[in-house]
Amino acid sequence: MASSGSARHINVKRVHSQSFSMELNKISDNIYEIPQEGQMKKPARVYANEKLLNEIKGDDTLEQIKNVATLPGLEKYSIVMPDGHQGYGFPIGGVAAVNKEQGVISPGGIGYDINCGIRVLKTDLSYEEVRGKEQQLANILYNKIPCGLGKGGYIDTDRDDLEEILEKGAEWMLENGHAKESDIKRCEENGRLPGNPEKISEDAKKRGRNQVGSLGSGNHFLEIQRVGEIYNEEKAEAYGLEEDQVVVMIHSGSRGLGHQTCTNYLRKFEKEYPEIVDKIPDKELIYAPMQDDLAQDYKEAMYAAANYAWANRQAITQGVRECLDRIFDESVETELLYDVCHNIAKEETHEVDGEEKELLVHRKGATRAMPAGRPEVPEVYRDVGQPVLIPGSMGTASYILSGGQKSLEISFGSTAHGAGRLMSRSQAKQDYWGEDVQDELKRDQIFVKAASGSTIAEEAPGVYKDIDEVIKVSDALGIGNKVAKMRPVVNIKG
Amino acid sequence: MGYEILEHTADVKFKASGDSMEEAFSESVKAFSEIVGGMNGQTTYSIEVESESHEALLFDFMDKLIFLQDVNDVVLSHAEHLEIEELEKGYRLRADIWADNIEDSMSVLDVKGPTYSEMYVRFEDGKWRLQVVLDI
Repeated sequence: MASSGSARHINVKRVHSQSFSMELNKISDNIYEIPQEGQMKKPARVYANEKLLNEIKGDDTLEQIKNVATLPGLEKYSIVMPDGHQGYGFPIGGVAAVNKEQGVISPGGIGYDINCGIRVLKTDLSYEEVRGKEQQLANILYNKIPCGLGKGGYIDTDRDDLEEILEKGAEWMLENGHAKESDIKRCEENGRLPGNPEKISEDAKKRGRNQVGSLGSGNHFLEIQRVGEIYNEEKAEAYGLEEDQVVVMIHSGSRGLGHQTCTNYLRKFEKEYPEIVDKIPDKELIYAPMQDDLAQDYKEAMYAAANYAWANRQAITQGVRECLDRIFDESVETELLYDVCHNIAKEETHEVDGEEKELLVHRKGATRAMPAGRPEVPEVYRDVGQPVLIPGSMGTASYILSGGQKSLEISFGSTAHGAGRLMSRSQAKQDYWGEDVQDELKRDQIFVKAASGSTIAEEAPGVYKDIDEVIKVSDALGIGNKVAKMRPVVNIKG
Repeated sequence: MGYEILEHTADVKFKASGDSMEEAFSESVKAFSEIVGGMNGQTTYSIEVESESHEALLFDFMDKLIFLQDVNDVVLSHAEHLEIEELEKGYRLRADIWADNIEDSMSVLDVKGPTYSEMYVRFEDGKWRLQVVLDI
């Protein structure tokens, strides 16, 4: 492959994997770039330190960000975050900003779980007050919040409710007594995007009928955490966080309705654009030009599914509140810190080469991280920056960051979304016994309750990348800055 | 004839084979069932899928299985009377899918969707062989 040297490239390395070799230039600490070549419209960038980069080289992530860089209308470069790993079409941890007029929309750049995201609920409990009640909390949460398949949702919804949820998202929850006013104000987009329920298929609606307020399975979880180290006192105060405070983290998405919507539009795009299928390197990268009706249909469907996800996380929040009330005799005050998506495409304005541009920013396993002053940041946080919620794996720390000033310059207002898997589920089950993992965590005062031992083995801390390394890179790059670290206390999963 | 669950970092992958395409597709239901935690099968559901190519048929078939579990709150077991018919444009699959109701005590994996990643349906060494990655 041709090398395109530039004065800024201070070190040239070649990466070799099983099927390809490629040029990867170190631009500066934590920033590597694959130069534009072949079908690529722009270069591709990796934000990682050497340790994480070596892990990223272990699968097809680099090939995938090169593929993403072939998308028409792509601005600046395609990006993979420090927690990146191989996905479908796009890598997980991928960010691609395309021109809103001349660009394209790609379901693979958003993911099957539309608006999969994280919310953190603050409580006025201290860790001391929770100690001794961990098992009780694990049991009641596990019984109240549906996990896995076929367990229904926390709230009952009929067909008419579903239509309204798709249109109004978290707002419907407020109107129907399932939310507090402040829950909505502290949610990305106030929990509502301009979705169109008519663009969601009947099959997707059938899957969504009975799942509002359910966690799902895989890596989704609900965790009671205690705030550990505070890195930035001023921002922690603005976010209302202090050491030893108990918070609740919820990780879930749009459930069957969102998954079906992604599948439906992948197939629609595939049938509508055979000429695009022929030229793209991976069918899962299929896209539609933004000016086409089908692109607009998918956008409106994706937004409607995003609304469903917000209603889902809000319903789970209500379930958590009920459980806390039961255990602590209705004496617990709770307030939402923030709710942020990490699988979505958003219409945003960014400066590109000195010019303000209207873009569609695909974030697949990447979190929006807007700095202070941006209009997207809720009013209460506008002077300090958007809270960025990053979960670790079961049994390891999670982090709260704040959107960094550099994020606008180098990552379209985005940072990482989690730890990222390293080991397959089947390998994990060979290497770990669920019960052993559970006992070991319990010795560290971490209580885990899951549907089965194999679920625990599959999600054992050792199967994920080191979250501390991921956060270090985000902080050093200035795209998401450390505010606080949380330690797990009780974790439930499907 | 048979199936095998394979290694995949983030999700699940399997391959299946059979003397006929029908047999390979039937085996894929057994693989699916093992992945999600299925049992013997108490009730049946008749399904029909129509698609433009072998791979699209496998993709849509998987989509149908996921849908069936999600909307009926059941866990799949196996397929019977699986037939694939060649149409003027594409293929039609019909089958009876056996499933069990999900009880509160059961742990069933929630599958998000089928993917085209590493997917194939081909005739090789005297057998029909297929491979699927499911997003979980």
